[in-house]
Amino acid sequence: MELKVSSQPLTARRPLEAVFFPVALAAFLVLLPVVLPYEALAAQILVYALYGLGYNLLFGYTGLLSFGHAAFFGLGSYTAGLLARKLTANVLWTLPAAIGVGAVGGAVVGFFCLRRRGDYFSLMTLAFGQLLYFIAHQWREVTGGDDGLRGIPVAHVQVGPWAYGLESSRDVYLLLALLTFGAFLGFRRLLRSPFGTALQAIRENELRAEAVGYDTFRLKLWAFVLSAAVSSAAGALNVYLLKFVGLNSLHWTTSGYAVLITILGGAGTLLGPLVGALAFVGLQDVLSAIPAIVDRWPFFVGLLFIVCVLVFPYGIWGTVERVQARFRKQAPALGGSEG
Amino acid sequence: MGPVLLTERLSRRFGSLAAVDEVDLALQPGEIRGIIGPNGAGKSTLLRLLAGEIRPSAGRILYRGQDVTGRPMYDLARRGIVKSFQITQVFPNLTCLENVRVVVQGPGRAWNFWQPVDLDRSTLERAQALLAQVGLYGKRDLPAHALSHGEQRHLELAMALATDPEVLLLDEPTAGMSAEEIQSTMKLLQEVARERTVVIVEHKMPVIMNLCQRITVLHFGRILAEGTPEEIQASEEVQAVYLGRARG
Amino acid sequence: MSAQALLLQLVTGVVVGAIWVIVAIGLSLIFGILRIVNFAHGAFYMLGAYLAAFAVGWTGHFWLALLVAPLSMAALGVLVERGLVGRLYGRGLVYSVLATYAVSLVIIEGVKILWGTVGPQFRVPAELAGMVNLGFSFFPKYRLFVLLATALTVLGMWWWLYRTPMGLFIRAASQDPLMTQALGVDISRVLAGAFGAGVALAGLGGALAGPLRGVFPEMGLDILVESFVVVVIGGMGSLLGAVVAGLLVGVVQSFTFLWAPVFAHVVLFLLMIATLLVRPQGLFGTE
Repeated sequence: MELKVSSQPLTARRPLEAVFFPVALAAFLVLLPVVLPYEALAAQILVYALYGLGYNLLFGYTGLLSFGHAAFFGLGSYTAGLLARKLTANVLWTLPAAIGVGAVGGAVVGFFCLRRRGDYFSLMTLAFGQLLYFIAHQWREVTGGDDGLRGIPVAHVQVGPWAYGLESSRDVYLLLALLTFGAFLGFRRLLRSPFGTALQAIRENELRAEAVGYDTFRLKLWAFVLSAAVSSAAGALNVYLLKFVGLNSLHWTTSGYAVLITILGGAGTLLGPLVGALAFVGLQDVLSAIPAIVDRWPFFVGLLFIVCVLVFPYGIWGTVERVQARFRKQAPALGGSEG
Repeated sequence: MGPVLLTERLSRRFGSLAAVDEVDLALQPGEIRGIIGPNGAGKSTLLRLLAGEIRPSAGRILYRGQDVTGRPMYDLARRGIVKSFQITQVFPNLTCLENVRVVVQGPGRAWNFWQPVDLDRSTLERAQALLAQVGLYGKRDLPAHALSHGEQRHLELAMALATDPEVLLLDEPTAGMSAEEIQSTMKLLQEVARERTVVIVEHKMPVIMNLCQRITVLHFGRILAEGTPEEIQASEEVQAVYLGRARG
Repeated sequence: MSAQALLLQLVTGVVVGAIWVIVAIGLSLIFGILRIVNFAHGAFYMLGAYLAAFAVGWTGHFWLALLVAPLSMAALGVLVERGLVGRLYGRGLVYSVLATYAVSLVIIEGVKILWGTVGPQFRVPAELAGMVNLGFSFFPKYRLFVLLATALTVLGMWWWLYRTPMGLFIRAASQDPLMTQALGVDISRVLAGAFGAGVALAGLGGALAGPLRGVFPEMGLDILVESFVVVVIGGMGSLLGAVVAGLLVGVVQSFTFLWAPVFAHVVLFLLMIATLLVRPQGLFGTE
């Protein structure tokens, strides 16, 4: 897999960074809605950042190009929406349910798709995505078909008698910020764990990974499940924000957005999806405010993407990390454990 | 104790072509075996069969008395049979240290989702020691793709050793190396072979003749001859088929 | 169900399949030679329809439109290959896929910018309007024309690939690019030519489909995925595979519409998944 990935020496001891990272992330999450013109925008950025985070685990870190991830985003959305309409809009139920459904979906889809490699793998993920799309399209009684799911009650967080309604975008943003913070920190841990490093080894050279004893199929499947679960969570959160589920959330073009965000930001970097989502949603917002452009913003995103692929294959954040690495060049030192 | 690795009428067909044809191989523990033969004789295929990279069309493979025929590569690797590749296979974007560390860590640990690897001192130290053994400690923080060809092959060797294999299968370990690199590699291999069983496929006669205790000659997928380096060098059959008209 | 009704459904399916055949041959060609999954294929299909519609609108000649569409797509295709796709070969397949996806975005949105979200009118030309009595049923003359056009295209492609020097180079390049280069063939020309030819076919498919399905910016999105289905089932890089699979899938879908309309779209992707699981190289694929 010849994906351009900026790699950092994992085993370099950077205690300062261990503290710095959560603080910086928290600061960013606090400042984002302040800096941006409205909270819904900030919330949308975080939704896509989580979508991208899940996607990046599979793509940037395991090296598997999925073109059907909208299936999980959509599964999460529809699960949360349907539960809210039929049973309860309590986030403490709908979010885990969405994650669960996504994980199961990921297990099933992954089980089949991972039997193939390369292009065949990607095409099969696309096929599964479209399969789900058309099933949802036909199953009008449940999904609302083309019209989508409407009349979704406002989500709330309820523990016993205490309830907090997520009525405004600011409320949703609060939930999103907390979850994003947890997710990114959790992923940082995951990527530095034996599991995470094994995934990266698979990305780098699956044959070699297998030759030293890794059961690559099982590892890839787990990556798939985790990736799907996180993307589904993003889908559910999107429903809390929009109070609506559109059929388009299952279309392959939505899968394409996951790829876009990840590459723009920097595949194989932790913060890539966050940066990518920022760029993507930010561009969308800025461009659609220009009267001449309005709804035609994807044109410019497409152009930017072309530039990115040609000139900045490492993405925005990936390029930043590479520049950082140049300045931090480790001198080969003999003797004494560097840690 | 019997042979550590034994094959019974091992065969592999590609269509109508028998790349490996009814090979009976018996490796004694601690042996250093060379496998030679003209191009297309089936040497690499045999190695791939032994490593589980491809499945045999017929025959059996027994490892320490147990039938492991048809088991996947990662299973054999965990049992102790590890192969290095003809075309260097490392993890290009990872640092050299990480290349080795991720192997040392081992597949058993792969289900640990939370412990940061840089806190696992024993794994790190073992990885560093292996790098030092192959002379790459100084380059440990460089990405693997930045290494020269010869250095990458040493890295591969370190990775193979990291699995602590009982049987090490080396497919042309000195391919593409300069004369000095070959010298250092041979010294390394001599060290490495001390505690293990090693099988080397090679084209370079001096390497094979100096390193190996026994040599198996393959021709058209079948064993043509087997013996000590001296016996093989003296064999007229082998000379005719492989060494050609000119001697040595 | 009467025999006539079944026959009608069959012929309808074949016509639907015919468009898929043309588009799929193009996609298969690009995959076979350049080894990239062309995500922009649907966009070129759409552009072909647009240009054909404009050509008919300006000149009143349908036949001219049928020439303009593929030729202009070929030119654009060569530009895209030289300017973008061709620069990414060394980088691995992922980037080529991403690049074509981006091209698709740019083309579709670009069309919307230039001509809005409502596409031009594309009427069936007068010479081809009306019905033909097939014996078992009346059938639109234009659809029969599409069948004829497809048959001619397939023959033409076969002749080009197997009876001309360029075709020989293309087939050689798909088998062994290095050797072909060593024999003095300018491989970059072959690659550009293959990409151009591939998207020309997409454009032709769009031009033919325009009067049938209407012309609008997103018309290529569905055909893209549908042609993936056909190419997977037929086999990547196989001309015969694209033909057989295209017609087969068209007929299968047609009958599914008749008997179990709920599954009419779903059946396509089930077939694609089944193929990828059971025989990934498809019916006639070589890998």
